[in-house]
Amino acid sequence: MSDQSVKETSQTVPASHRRAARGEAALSLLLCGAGYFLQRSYLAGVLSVLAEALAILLFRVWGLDAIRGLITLGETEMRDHSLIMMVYGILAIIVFVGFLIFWIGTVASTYRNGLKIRSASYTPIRLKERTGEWLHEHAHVLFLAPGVVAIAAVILLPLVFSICLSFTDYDAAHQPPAHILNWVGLKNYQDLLVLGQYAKTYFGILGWTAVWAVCSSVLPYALGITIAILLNNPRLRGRKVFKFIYILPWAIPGYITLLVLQSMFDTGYGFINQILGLFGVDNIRWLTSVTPARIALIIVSIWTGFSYPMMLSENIIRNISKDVYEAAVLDGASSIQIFFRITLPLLMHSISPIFIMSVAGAFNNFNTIYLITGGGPLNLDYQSAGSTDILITWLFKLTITNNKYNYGAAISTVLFILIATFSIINLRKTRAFSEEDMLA
Amino acid sequence: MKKYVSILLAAILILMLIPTMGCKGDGSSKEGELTVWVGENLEDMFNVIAKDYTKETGVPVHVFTYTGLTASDKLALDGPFGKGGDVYVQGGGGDLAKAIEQGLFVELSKEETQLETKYIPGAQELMQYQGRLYGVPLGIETTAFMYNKDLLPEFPETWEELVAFAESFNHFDGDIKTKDQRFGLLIDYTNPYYTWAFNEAFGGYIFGKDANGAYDPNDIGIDNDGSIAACGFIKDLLDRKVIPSDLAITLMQSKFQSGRAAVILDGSWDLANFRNAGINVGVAPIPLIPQPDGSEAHAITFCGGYGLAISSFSLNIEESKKFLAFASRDEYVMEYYRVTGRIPATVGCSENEEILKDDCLKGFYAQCDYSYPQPAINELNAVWEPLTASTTAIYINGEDIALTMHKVKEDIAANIRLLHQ
Repeated sequence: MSDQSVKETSQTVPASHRRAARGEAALSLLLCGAGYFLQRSYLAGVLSVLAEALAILLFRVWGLDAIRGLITLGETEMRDHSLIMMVYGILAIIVFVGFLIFWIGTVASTYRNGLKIRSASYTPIRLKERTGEWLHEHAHVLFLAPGVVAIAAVILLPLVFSICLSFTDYDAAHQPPAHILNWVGLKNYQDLLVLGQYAKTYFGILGWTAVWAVCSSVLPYALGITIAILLNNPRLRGRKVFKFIYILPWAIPGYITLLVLQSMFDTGYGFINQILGLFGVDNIRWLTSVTPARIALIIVSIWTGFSYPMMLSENIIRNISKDVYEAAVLDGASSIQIFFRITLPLLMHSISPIFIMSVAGAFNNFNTIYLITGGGPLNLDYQSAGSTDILITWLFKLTITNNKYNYGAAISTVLFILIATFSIINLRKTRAFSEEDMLA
Repeated sequence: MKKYVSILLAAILILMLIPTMGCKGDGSSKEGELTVWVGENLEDMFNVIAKDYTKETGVPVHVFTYTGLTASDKLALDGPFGKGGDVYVQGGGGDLAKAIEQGLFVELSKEETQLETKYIPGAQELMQYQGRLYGVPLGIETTAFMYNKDLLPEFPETWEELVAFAESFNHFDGDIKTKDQRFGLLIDYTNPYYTWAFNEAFGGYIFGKDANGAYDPNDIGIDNDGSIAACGFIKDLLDRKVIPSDLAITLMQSKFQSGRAAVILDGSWDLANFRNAGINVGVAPIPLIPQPDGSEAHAITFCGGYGLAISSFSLNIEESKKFLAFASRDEYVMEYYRVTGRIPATVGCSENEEILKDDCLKGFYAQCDYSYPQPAINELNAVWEPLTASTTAIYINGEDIALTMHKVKEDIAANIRLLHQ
């Protein structure tokens, strides 16, 4: 019965029923659960009224103060802690928005219930059976609820808190509880993106971040796919040995790999310079000059990143049916044509969501940059940033070293919007999420 | 049957928890008793101090330990919720600056704590911020010359003698195998934390002080003539190959630990490491640096350390002040040294026999007379990076010293202007 949409039932229901149901729903708008009483669902009505009473009580006792605290961020130093007031204010807003959603849900279900009990095929069921039926239908909601609450607390609250911080003046000189924070609106974004020294740094770093994100996701994927194709060559012997070796960069913890690689790139005593010295190449200042540092970083990202795409592609390529290849060879296709017209599209059809996520992840790849160059040779034209800093490492330095928490929050909000937009657009464009099979 | 036994067992185990739960309290400040928060390794020592204090004054003292966060981070989280204690072992210098900006610790009076008479000159500024005192120092650490007594039995008295020794001892230039290399003098010239002592000797300074003893971020002396001369002084050492140019500080330390280096400029925190490696370590203060005009000046190193501070959320501020005076008695500061290895900060300890017998400590004390904590103001954050970048520019790339230092000073001034936006 409840599978039918509201529209369907209302088309078979005369107007008088619809009006009655709408009246009950409207009453529920005033007092949550009033509609239920009129529909003789006393238990549901009582529960809804209790919920509303609880919410109103909570609001009077705590919610009003919390939200007022969020707006004013405190009045007296040392007694009002602005950050704590912000957290409680955001929590209050989340709780009461949650309750509003519940209220609207009640109104909608009152309307639906009203239509249901007036329809011709309805027979009144006993309370116990009705409750059992309700639990059965809503079991998925009950199972998901703890997860949703956890997400709201652990992800939503800090996210909103960080976005709110980017609109305040929280930095080294304004630290609660000795200072009260103030809302400064878009001033931080202005400073960062439009005016001043920080803007120059921001756009410089954004350029390198974009280059880095593309290089450190495309190149490992290219290498991984190439190796996967080579591994699938029927003439290869000892395939398992090769696979084992190529999995190792992924298996070894990244942290250790990066620290060892950093010492390998050392100018005087590093392994790489020693090997190059055997060929007569001068000592390259890998980590202390701009371009060699960037090249070193890209090499490192290829080394740590190619195993995973290789594993993925290898499985997919192995499962491509041989018929397609035989047909192509019969038609006279060269290997390059086979690769670009058959293998690659089939591969990308399966891998593209993962690839897009890896571009987004490379945008935020903090470990590689921070552990290898620490942001790179310091660029005196940038504000507290080096030549190989990406946005996330610059944000880290601003927050930890300079205590400019508000700028850090602003940059991370901008990063969030950039990456979310990019990911959503691309994930929708690829047809991977549709159910079609490419070869069907 | 099994079901009932397991339920019974679980109930017993839970009941066993109850007595331990209410035992020590939650570490928050309560009227009439003192709550002290210390790092884990100091728990035993402070338990003794707590017992002695209670015996003497009758006020109960509870000791709690924290791990992971620093004292000021913990207090920043606990204090506003009413869970903060009374007394904390707090780091001085930059750590303290951040805490005071948040308003976490109570200001103390220099006269009441006998700052000038009870503590050695190097430690007096440790727990101060903008000229005001916020704690009593317990132990400090600083940098000085550590030398291998087997390779250099007696440390040279003058700077020229030290350089002459280094030049005669050095054996690393050219095509020499790593295991045959020998180093007479190791200084990490890429890290201004170590080399700033020389800049100070020539008259350079980071931030000047105003009349109240607070640092003035607009008075930057990084690019004055003295500082430029100091950079030239160090470059001269590099050019004459008195010190090697391609070693990182970790490599320098390992060379010293393996007995291939005679002298290294390092901090007192590495003393235990070198001793454990079996080196017969001696410590000497930096000799007087010869000036261009013929005179000599002291190199002034940076020092850091820890002390005791009173939380501003405490309910027993007067009692805590008495506890601070009690806990900084010589015998307890000696115990702090024994546990942490930090140089005791009281004058009484510096004359203690056990200290005097250890001539490494004598050397550090001599250097402490000429050391001061880094200017603990937020604007210091704007200084380190440009200054570190300048070492690459001057010593590695060979750029003009005066021009580079002027550029550094302008960058720092611009950074400071931004901080105040």
